[in-house]
Amino acid sequence: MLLEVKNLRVHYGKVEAVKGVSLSLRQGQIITLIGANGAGKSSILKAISGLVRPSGGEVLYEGRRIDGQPPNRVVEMGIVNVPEGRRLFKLMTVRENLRLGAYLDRDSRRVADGIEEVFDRFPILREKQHQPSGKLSGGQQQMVAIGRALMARPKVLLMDEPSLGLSPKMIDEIAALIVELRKAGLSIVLVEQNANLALHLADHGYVLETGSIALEGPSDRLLSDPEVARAYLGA
Amino acid sequence: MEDLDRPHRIAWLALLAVALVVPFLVNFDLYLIHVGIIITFNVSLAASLWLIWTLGVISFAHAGFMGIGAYASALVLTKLGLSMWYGLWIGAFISGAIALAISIPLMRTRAVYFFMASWAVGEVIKRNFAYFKDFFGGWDGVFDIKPPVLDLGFLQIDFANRVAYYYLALFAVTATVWVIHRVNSSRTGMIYWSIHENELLAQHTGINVFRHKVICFTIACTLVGITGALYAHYQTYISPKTFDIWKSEFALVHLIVGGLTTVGGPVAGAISLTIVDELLRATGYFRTIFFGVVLIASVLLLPGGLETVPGRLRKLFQRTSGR
Repeated sequence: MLLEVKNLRVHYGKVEAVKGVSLSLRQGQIITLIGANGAGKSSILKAISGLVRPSGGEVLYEGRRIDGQPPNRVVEMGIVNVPEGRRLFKLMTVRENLRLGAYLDRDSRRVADGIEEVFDRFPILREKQHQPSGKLSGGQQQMVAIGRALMARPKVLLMDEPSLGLSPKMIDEIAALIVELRKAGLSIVLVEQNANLALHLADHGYVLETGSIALEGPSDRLLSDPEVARAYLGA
Repeated sequence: MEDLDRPHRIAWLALLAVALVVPFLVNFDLYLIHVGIIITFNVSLAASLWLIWTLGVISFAHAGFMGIGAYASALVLTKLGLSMWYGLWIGAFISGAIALAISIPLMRTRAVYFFMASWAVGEVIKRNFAYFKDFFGGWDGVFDIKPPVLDLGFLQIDFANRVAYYYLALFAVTATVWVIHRVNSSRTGMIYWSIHENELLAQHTGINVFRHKVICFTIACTLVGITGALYAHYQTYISPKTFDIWKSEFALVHLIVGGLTTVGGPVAGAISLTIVDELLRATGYFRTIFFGVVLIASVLLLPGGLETVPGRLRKLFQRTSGR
């Protein structure tokens, strides 16, 4: 098992946002966490990346405990978060954003190669590399955000609502990209409100309700589950 | 963040060239050279404060760290009999070491709490100088801090000579600004600006935000410690009041009037406002009021500060020549 979350609990003050969640991610797999706003999806990602300290439970990566490690250590180990809302350093150029993604890499040659790889993947970014990233369209900003995460050469990608606020065409592109990234050997934890999209991409799904797992299973089974269809697929 | 382009480099070299010939331009007028020396101190203070600003915070303890450098160097002379050539480095080292120790709790605070905490640190530094009378001389301060003599064997330069001290101070401020520019245009500078813009995202990216904050603060305070030592041996007298919160606040005003996005901002702000302050000296009691008016006017009429002037002129020129 590449990444394993066991009985994870997260508190914000007295409020318990995550109430004992367990999940697991195998090498080359995509898993998805779906659920309504406030179900605790983002908190789980933050706990994995070390941005919040879990109040209980364990996070294991390649068999070692990583909960309580600072975020920079977690990135160093190969788990990178693409935060919600296409967060970029909006005043900095596209290129500078990508450069910062490889923050831990002191080999400037390899960093330049990495930037070229991102440009090959998203050719539009090559054209806009010297523009402030805040000036780009929503879809292009998402490309920069994902590109920046890839610059760290991660093994596990945590994606928080990558489809949020994007046009249908752009959503298709991002979906194709996620499939491509998996083919390239990445393992992905995908958090989505767009359950239909997420379950079609993922191998395994977890349905979260107010901080705990209401339902889990292989994606195709969840897609055909009448309960899921009613509550999340809008059928 | 980018490296200097050509017009910028020319502007900096022109400024340095003017600074180098200033004593000749003013016909070795001792008062005007004195103003020049004060300008170099203010530029160093503002520029190193700006380095902390690249993290997104302002430290009101900055003049306090200048004081630590000044007192350390002064006491190395008066108690140990070692000249400024030793005191300068000892002052910088002590200022940096204390900054390192203090920034560990200080950098865990954020935004307005950081301002308040740094304010308290500045006040505590000043009070310590005043409280330990036997060691620091209390509110009376330290006297008789002689300027150094440089003995090159074939040539002896006594820095009690004001022109000589001007060139020493000019060398120091040039080195300080150059170091700050180098840090800012490096990968490290880009990291500071990323923390400035979005600390949480910087953490997401894998940046060890806390460590970078501590290192940046320490570098800035080490640099201002050197400035403090030079100040002490120039004035030959220092007291706790010299390094109080007001001094930090004036440096902050220099930043705001000069501009906050490039190192040119604090340099332009400190030079121009020091000159304005000296011009207003004749007004005596009203000096602070006039100074306030100049400050408000510059913020209202020139948002973004003096550093935006070249861009504004370029735009104006393009508009008129376009017709």
